[in-house]
Amino acid sequence: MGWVTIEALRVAYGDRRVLDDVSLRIPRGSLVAVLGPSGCGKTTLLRAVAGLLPVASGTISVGGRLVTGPGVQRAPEKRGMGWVPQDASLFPHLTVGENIGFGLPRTKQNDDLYCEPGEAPSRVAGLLAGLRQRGRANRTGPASLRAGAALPANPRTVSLAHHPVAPGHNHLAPAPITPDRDRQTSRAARIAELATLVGLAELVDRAPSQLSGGQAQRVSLARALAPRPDLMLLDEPFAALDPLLRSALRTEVAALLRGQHNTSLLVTHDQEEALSLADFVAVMCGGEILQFGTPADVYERPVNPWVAGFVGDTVELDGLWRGGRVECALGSLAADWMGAQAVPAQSSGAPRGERTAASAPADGTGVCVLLRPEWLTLGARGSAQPTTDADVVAIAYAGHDALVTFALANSEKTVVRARIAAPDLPQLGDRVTLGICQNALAYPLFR
Amino acid sequence: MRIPLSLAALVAGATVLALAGCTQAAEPTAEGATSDGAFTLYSGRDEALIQPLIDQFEETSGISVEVRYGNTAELGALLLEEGDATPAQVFLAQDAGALGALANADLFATLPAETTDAVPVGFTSTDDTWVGVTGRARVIAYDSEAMSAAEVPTSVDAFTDPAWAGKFGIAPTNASFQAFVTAYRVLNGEEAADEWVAAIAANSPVIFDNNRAILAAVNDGVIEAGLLNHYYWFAMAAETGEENMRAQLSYPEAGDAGSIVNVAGAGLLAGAAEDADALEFIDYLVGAKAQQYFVDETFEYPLIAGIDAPAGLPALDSLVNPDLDLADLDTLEDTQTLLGKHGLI
Amino acid sequence: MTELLIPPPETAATRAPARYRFGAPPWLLAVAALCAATAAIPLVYLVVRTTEAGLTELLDTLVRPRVLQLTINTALLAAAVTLSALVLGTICAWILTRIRLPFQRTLLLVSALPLAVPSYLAAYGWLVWFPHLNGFWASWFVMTMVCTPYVTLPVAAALRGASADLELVARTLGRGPLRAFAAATWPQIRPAAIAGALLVCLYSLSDFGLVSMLRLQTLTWGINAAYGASFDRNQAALLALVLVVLALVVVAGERRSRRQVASVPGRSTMPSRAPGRNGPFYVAVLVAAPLAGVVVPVVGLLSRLIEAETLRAIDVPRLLEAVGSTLGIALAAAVVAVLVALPIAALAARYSGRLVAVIEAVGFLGHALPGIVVGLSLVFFALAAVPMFYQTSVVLVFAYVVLFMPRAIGSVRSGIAAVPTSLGDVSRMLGLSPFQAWWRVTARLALPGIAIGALLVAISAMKELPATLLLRPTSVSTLATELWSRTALFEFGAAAPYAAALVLVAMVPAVLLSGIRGTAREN
Repeated sequence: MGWVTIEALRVAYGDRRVLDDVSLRIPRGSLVAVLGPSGCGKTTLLRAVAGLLPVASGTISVGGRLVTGPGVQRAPEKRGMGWVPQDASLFPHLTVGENIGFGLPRTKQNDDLYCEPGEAPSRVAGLLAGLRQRGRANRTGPASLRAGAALPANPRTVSLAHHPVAPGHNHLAPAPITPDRDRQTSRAARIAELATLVGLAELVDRAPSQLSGGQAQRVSLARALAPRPDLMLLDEPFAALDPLLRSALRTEVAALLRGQHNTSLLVTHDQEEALSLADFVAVMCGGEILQFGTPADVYERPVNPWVAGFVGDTVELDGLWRGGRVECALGSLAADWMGAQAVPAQSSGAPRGERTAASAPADGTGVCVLLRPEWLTLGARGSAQPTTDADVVAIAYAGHDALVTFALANSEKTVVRARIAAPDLPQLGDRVTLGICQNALAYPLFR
Repeated sequence: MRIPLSLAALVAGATVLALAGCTQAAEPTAEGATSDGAFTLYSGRDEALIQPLIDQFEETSGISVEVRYGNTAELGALLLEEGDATPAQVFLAQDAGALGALANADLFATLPAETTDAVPVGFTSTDDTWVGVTGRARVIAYDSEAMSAAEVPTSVDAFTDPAWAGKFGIAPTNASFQAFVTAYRVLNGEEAADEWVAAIAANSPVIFDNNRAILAAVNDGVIEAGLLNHYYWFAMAAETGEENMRAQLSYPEAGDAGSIVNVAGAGLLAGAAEDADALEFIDYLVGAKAQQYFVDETFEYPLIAGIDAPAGLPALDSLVNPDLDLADLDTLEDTQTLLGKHGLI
Repeated sequence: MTELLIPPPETAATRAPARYRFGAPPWLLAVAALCAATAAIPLVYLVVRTTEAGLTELLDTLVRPRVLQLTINTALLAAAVTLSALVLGTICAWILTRIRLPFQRTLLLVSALPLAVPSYLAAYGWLVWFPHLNGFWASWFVMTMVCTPYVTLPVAAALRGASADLELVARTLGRGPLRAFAAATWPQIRPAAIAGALLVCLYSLSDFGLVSMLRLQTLTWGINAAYGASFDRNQAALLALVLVVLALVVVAGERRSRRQVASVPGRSTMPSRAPGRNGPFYVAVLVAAPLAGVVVPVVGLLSRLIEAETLRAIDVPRLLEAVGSTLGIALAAAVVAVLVALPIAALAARYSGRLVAVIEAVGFLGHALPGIVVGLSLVFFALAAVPMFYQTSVVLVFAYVVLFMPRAIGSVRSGIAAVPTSLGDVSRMLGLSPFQAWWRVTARLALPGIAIGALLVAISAMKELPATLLLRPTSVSTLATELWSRTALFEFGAAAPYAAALVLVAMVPAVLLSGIRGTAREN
């Protein structure tokens, strides 16, 4: 059962269908990445979940509450979700602190940091704000209580990087119930707490224009976290950052989200980002979810060659199916039949091999043989597969390893690429023996 | 029955004063007219020229006058647009054309004969829909540095001479010019008028929007002569000093179409037919006191007997043309067709 | 006017759309259409009047060579003034932002001053010095000088926010300074320049005061003549419809050429240069319009005052009363015009589509019509619909709204368009209702644009004459009507205080205008 359940969602811009029958279940406390190329509809999916655009049909529910469904279109501000857009979108007329506190209700007692002219809350408004807060807290349930309790006791000494949490760690520890009133005691305290959490405690009085891209994105994250959302929505939050900052920040953010026990939906077109951060990855293309699974599942057992190619580098060869093996330029390789249509969304964590049993083709059927470059090894090490000789024709050096292009000795027109660890790198023109360390994947042709 | 205006004013004023004491509501007077001690005037005549007279009227009659100033054309268009809904009771216009247009649209009440009789035929409407208040002579303003008084043409026909090409100004879209062309047509016949307009149009006239601008141009030496109404000169002289006036006036000889008199007049709007206050004001305008005021202050021709024209102006009698109804819109339309045919409007 | 506010680079999203891909919500469409309908009142009136005339009369009038001549004069004047104001305004803006001149702030303020001078006053002042001035080129010259700030101010603001990266790239690719500017920077400031040019164009189409003084026979001249001499409302309406057609062509052209330019990422701004030996030249270009549009006319007027024999004592209470009513009515007009323009601007800023285009274009109509036409149409409308408000300030304010709403629409639209939609989304996600989000974020950030719109409307309302004469409450005078009633008969002495007061009062919003910057927080 998912904490967030999306069923048969359809969204259309005019006549063009942008999301087509999308279903997705997000387990509580997990980070799910929606991975797809530009224009595949992944941002549309995120906006539909946020309630920022109308859907044609389908349902979305969070924690058992229906937020989008037939006759139901809960307003974005009533969904209790946090939103981190790609460009941070900080309010330029407010300070960092005011940005972080933007989503926190203001009451007479705790409106000590931020009060806009002409908007001084009256007694009634303050009361209403309090009621809203309470309503939200009730709806939010234990997850947010836990989140509050999970904060470090002395936030000043703790920065994100000191919170290493294993990527697979999505198991929620029980937490003591914090009295509702405590969380409301002070907006200022909450703002300071979050500013510290994202490591920007010194910058609360700065203007957004004075922040670097990474800092702005952290503020954006803190702002979204402040009201303790049931679900965090992140729309390519790292895309606009430079690569070094990007990888550092995304590790921090993932750790932080897990530290807060947030359920998060992250949209990205960067496969490395999706694979490294997410508990589950949903691969989207053309408005449909093609595959849903753990990062390893998606990478090693892609449902079709397109997904395989999108998620990582591939070696593709033509072959013939012969009872559990494929005959191709690399010889007769042990292979898994990948022809069965994987059922997206529900298939999370399905044990590998289960699908291979299903309806393997007749012997002699033409198939598409697919390998990952790192499955090719130099020599026969660790390989139960046959080996083949090949000449090195190009090397793309990347420091820790290199992508080496080989022309096969027995068929010079066939070129394969292998990822070779740096210490083992051959020279250009060397003839080497290639082994294969895993079962090849066989896909039906013309998919 | 004919009673002196001043007596009428006195009676009306007393009535008003008596009524004002007890009620603001309109009360029927002895003649069946009503009086509430106030009325609204749309004045196409400039505030500086008429407000002192209105102040006098208010003082003597006790009637308060709400005045809306504007130019005659715009107020005429406004009244046409307002129709019966107009808040105005009296329209004071600078030219007969505007009055005729409103009369033609049945927006005026018929004035009592005793009011219109004060003004001779030819200076007022033929059907008592409005009454002439003052007369303005058409004149030729000339640049005194460019020519002597003796050199100024005595007839408007002279301006068809190529010697005048590009040196004289007219305001063909202005009502006063169109009234003058109408007069030309009536006096000299359609054929002659057609020829004259064609010749003028071909002689590179300098086109202005209004009489005031023509006079300013003559005074600045931009053009040597222009056709306009006489009293603009006096207004300008009053501002800059008579001795500083470079532009001087010349009156075309009597009988020439260029020497006609345009009238300014007032009409009572249809909805105010029974309004004693409004009527009293119109009577006041054609009374001796007001007429003397116009002679003294605006240098216009008085239109009632017994008041002398401003010194230096030709006698009004020499300019009268009984055959001409300046407010006759049908003939105005013919004039516009003629001007349009030769591209002047 | 337009991009007087440029979003700070942080929020200038590379991907956040300025427009939504979805159609506009029906309620917004309905409200905007209702607001635009106010501007369509004159159009309805004109159609009623024109159809009254009958087809044959229509055709007869239309084919008259004079109508053609008037139309050509009008179109040529509008085109020439727009072009020259565009060029001069852009050059002034460039100098203001790229050259390090002394008293830069003052120079910016001075370049806004011609806005405060009514066109008829400017023309009159020039005639004092040069009585022979008349015709096309004179009208073109004075009109250009009066209108240039409409281009200078928004372009200067856009230039201040434009990224210099592209221009520098163009320089390295071998373009000269001028061509690099044209290739790289012009596209960024073009929406601002075009929107300013649109105001100039519509203004020169509808102006009557200046062309009547300088004796150029345009359509407005013909319209006034039709009312004035022949009381032919039908013909006047027909000529006004020709004007409407011209205006629609212009507005459609502007929409087409506006094109949404994606904001260019990059933070560098062009370093301002020292003026060097060309300093005096730059200053001369900058002060040309203020000199010709303010100093020459005002000094001319004063000289007439000194010559005047009948210098009357200034009636101070009356002058103050006129100042008061001018300010009051202009302020009310500014507020109402902005309120009416807001839905149209919000629609045009965020959505596209044929209906949106039509609504926006209709909103611009009033600006192309001479005041007398709008005035009469509101007489017609008010008496038919709301007779109790006739000849009250309500209808007068409404007339100003119809006439000057376009100035508000343009600047409010670009103000809103400069606020990334993602900020609205974020506020919604943080618990704000749509109206809270609009109020606390979009409106707050678009405030400079909204303020500019209000100030432009206020300036225009202060100077307006023909509609004011027709619609003002009886016995209420504004500075413009007082000025008119004194210049009508050569009373320069009496007119001068009102002229001076009008220019001074109108300078207040003009000065404020030159000072408005973005709302982004700067520490």
